[in-house]
Amino acid sequence: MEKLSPTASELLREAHRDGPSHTQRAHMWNGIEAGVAGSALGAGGIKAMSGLTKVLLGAVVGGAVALGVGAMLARPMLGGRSTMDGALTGGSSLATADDDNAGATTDGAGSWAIGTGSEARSGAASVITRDGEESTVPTAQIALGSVARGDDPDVETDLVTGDAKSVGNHGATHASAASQPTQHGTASTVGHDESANGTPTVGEDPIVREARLVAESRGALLRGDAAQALKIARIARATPNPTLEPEELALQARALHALGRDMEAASVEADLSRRFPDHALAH
Amino acid sequence: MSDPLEMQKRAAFRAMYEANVDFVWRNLRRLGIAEADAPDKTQEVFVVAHRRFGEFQDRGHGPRAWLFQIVLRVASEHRRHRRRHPEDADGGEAQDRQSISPDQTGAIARREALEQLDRALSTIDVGRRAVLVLHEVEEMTAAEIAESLGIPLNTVYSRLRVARVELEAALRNSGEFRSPFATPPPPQRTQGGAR
Repeated sequence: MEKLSPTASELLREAHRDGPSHTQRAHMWNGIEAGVAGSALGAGGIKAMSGLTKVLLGAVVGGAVALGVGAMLARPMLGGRSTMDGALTGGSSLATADDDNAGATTDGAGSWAIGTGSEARSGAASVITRDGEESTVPTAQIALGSVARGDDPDVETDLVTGDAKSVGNHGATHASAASQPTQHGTASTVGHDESANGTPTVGEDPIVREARLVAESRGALLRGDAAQALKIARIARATPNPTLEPEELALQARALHALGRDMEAASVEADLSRRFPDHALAH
Repeated sequence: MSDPLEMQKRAAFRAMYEANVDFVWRNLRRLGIAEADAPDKTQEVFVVAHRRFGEFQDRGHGPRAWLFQIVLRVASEHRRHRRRHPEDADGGEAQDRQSISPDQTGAIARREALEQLDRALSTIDVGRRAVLVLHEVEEMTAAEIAESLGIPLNTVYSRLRVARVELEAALRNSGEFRSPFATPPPPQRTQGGAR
């Protein structure tokens, strides 16, 4: 059989080395998972419908919670104290996350968390305990108190109050979608790791603090501590009017990938692309 | 996702993706998919593959033959769609070039080489092109290609022979039959300088 010329062979050898970049591979995998999830939803019959019901329920409850959260955030303007302060200083506090994906993250020994935004829409609130462990608590389950034990075996639901209580080994974190009375940060921050709970240094500029948290999150990711990186990135995102939100979203996505939570990571990446389409990290 | 069987299936599919994504990508590209469209089409191939993952049976050659059939179908549909709904007059080439920063000389050389090859390949009938690419790029044996494409072994040999001739002719006719990696000859010095 006729042999190819050296140049044609060279071009074909080059073609053999062709392939997507590392980033493209990751993006494509996210797209595939999203596509697969979409088709599963379409073909899943009753099982998928029950999942869809949960999502819708989460959206409805999330909307209600958002209203409650909005009211609580408005309180400081009317003379009350910001609940966010309590959340960021740790201790016994009520933490709120106002937007997509950001479950409330607190570090206190006894803390309350409300998940809103897309996690609520997807029917889950993310609760992070003091030791960086995270529980995902379906908000529909929390709000309605209808399921005694959901996806997370470490979550027990109080059928009377509708509270979900994490009973993991570390920390005692409670989550509730019902509007709880504000429990301001009464505990002192002594003994808390600043990088872990995002405690603002006295007089620190919010932008400087946010940049510091982003750097810390990146550092945690490089150290291989994805859970910590995720936690810090979420705290950074909780900054009012975050300046580095694309970076924080990108860090969240990377941390979620590292934790094997690819579907959540894809959701965060989609959010990043949608909200910051021109940002370098969105590609 | 707590179902162990489901998790096992997912892990197996992920492993299959990691092992074959390059294969799918470059074959889509060689079958005429512009780089800008390649990520979407690669995803499409794997979404289809996921849907049919249960049907896949490894007959000793791995999933490549099976994946290539999906690649062929996706590429064919894409070409048909492009003919009906042309979006970029150049098929996305200008967009492809935009994604290279000027200092990436190595990347530019590689890109030029692939463009040169793809232009030549685009002149070859898809059936023969598939055989040529599978043999010359993917280094698959004639028997594997016959199985992948569902054609007799002798047809593989005849298509390969003709495709090689066509490739050489296309490269020659393009007027740029040169290696993009070749170092340019040093400039010749003139004796005595300018007069």
